[in-house]
Amino acid sequence: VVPPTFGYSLIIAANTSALGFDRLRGDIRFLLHGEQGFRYHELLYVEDDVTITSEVTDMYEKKDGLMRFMVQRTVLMNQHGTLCVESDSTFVIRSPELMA
Amino acid sequence: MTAVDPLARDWAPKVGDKIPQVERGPISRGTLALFAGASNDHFFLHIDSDYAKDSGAPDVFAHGMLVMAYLCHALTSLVRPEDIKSWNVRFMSITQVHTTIICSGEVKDIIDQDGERCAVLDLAARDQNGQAKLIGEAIVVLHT
Repeated sequence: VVPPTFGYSLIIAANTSALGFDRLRGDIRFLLHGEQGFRYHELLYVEDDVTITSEVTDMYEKKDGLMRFMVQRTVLMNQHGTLCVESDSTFVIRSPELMA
Repeated sequence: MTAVDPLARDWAPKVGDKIPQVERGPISRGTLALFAGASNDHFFLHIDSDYAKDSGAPDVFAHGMLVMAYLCHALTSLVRPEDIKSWNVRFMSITQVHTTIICSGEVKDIIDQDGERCAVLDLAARDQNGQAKLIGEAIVVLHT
């Protein structure tokens, strides 16, 4: 059985998590993972063939644009087309002025 | 509380019950290097001290998902993976290398969801000084 947080490792491996980072307009060194959620529907197993689809569902700013947020929704389906895991990630990029 | 066997699905909590604490760490540089491989997150901020310091950080720091994985151990010490319906966390502060993580939780509510009896858990991962690293909530299916 695939551990509950391992879906995120698969998402990074698929590189769909890079989606939309360019729209955050910032230095990747100042990128932070802000929130993470999972909803499970079916277990993933060793040797499953997983299809991963990501979309950017929201982008917003705080502190006059010094903190810029991006929300991604990713779904993981197994080789039978069954929805297994939904993942919601919020990333934030901080402008260097905030850390001075 | 008496020991829980997640495989036996015998956890029978009441609102207000605390879940058994799980302690992990101190987080070493080696742990961060291994987790980079396991998580496919090879960002140098977590594994290269020179890169981290050039970026303004005091040193390498842990992947948020490493701490979330530790917090997950607190869940899977109680219930089977298939009995976790959903959970979400907010990353509260950076976890520096050498930090020890203490994961805790409390039963906030017992609800019916999709025809199943579920516990709603408040979860937290804190460092050895009590500073919150992650706070979150989980919904797990009960069989008792």
